Amino acid sequence: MSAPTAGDLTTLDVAAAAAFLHREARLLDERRLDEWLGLFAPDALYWLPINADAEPGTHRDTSLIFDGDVRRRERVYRLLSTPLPSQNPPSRTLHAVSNVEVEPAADGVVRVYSNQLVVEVRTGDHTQRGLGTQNIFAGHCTHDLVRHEGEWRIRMKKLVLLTRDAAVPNLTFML
Amino acid sequence: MTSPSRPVAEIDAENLVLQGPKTFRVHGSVYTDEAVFREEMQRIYSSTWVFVAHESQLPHPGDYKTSHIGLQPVIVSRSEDGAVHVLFNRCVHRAAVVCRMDKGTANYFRCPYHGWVYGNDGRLTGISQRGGGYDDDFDAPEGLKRAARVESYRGLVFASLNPDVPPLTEHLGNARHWIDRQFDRSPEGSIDLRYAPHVSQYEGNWKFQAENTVDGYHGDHVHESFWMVQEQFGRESGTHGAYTQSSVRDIKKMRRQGQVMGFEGGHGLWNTPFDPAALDGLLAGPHADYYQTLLDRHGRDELLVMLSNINVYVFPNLGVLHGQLRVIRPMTVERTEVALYPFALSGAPDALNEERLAGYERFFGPSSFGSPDDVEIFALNQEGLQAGAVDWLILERGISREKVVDDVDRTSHVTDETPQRQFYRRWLRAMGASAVPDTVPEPLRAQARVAGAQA
Ligand code: FES
Ligand SMILES: [Fe+2]
Repeated sequence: MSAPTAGDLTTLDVAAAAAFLHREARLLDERRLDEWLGLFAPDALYWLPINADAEPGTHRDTSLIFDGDVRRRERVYRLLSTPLPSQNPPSRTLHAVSNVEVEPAADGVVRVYSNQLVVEVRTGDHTQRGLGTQNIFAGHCTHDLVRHEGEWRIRMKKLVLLTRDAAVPNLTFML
Repeated sequence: MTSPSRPVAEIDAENLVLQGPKTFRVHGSVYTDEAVFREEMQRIYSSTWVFVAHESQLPHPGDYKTSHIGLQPVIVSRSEDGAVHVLFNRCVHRAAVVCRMDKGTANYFRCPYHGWVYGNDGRLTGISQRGGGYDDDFDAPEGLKRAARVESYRGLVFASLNPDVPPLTEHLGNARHWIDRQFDRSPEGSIDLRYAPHVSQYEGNWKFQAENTVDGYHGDHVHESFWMVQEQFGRESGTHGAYTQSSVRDIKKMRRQGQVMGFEGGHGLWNTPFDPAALDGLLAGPHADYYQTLLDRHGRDELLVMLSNINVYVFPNLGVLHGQLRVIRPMTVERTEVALYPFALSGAPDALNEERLAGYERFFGPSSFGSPDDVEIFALNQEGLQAGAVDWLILERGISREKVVDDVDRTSHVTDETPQRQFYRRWLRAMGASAVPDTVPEPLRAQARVAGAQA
């Protein structure tokens, strides 16, 4: 991991935060999802709300994804180890991260803002509907990072898609 | 088939469904032919009851929600006196839509083009710069055009463009009891659509979603992935009740019990039982008071039915299942939108509703572990239909073992295509194929009489 490793660090600079996000993007795009799970601290939330104003982490409205530790492992297991029509053929993704900003640390939590563009395509027989077309998903991303076992880990990843409350296509790949 | 306004029949619905004692086949063009789609919009979506909203989506005077009757945009609006109006979202001047939001609260709708103003009851209340521009005897319309009929059943608002449509309860028939059983899980007997919907679109015909909502045959194949998740992780991250079993084998066993039904009006039911042994656990669990209230009110036998897995499809555009209203919106012959509205049970503990939402999200929604696999299949269906060299789709599963109940409905093994056949019988009647017998064939009646005598 390219984030700082010294045990007494209380915050990251923008370059280190960006390096963390780039690493996450690589793991997602290479489907190294067991390693991706390892980026999270215990009791972490991976969240794609529909209501962008929902109070962080509350479950009083519908989400596209509201993954605690177990649900997140279920998602990875389902993608890597089960036969699922919606990922046959599987998606290729490209996660592009930009506009990284770091907020001053508070209570041991460092908040990192970024913009994320996820480009996705499934090929296979590209002549068939649903295949061979590139889809773009743009969103505002917030990572709450904490120190855990001497490393920076994700306490919460929140991705607010621009199209969250419109009709969205198959989102069974990793966002 | 002819209609008064169209001297030459464009399609002949009778030839699109092949029926015999052991035959039930639907022609591929039913899903691909634009003429069929146009007729459906006319003869189904403009003729029968169409679901447009739930009353909890517009609880207060001034609240509105946009919706559709087939292809036609409408506003479902509650006026100051509490009445619910279903108004076409089209300015009667030169046709601009007057409302651009999906929902909200408004005293009036002002057309963005030339500023005509309508009350939230649809009445035209103002014409801009009227003086001099229009004569005093200008024949002004009354306001936004309204659906010919509006009726509600337990908060479900339906509208029809047909002034002569039979009463809504008649349309719902016996399917309504299976809606009751889902809404009666609320201590107040009502549901609340307080959550945002999950909305998907797929490149396939609307009838694929209609058929699939009560299809008990596909689960082993389309949802094997979900069952493996269930086997691996159990219920730790939530369950919506349908998959309490902990192994793929037990889930398959559960899904072979129960029944499907096809109702006279074209509606359908998929129903697998609740394990009676599990009731004691609920009565001693974290929501004991809630379950005790239901037990006292409904009695043990009925409660066990209420807690079973109930998927209802209401012809043509509504599903009521697994804590959600499912609204099907045909867009073109090969494009469809499906909106899933998870609902809360009014008066149930907040924690229970949150658990239900978390369980719902595990299987339903574009990033979930269940419904995206169904939606993917609909695109496969439509793609396969490009092979027009094959004429028919086969809907004959269980055709010899289904039974007639209450003279007009049919029931069969939980994996049978009974609801889908009943859907197409209704579809044929709507599409004007009057020569197709509505009545149940005599052999099936005889079978029912025998079953009745044995019971
Ligand atoms: S189109 Fe609405 S005021 Fe002219
Ligand atoms: Fe399904």
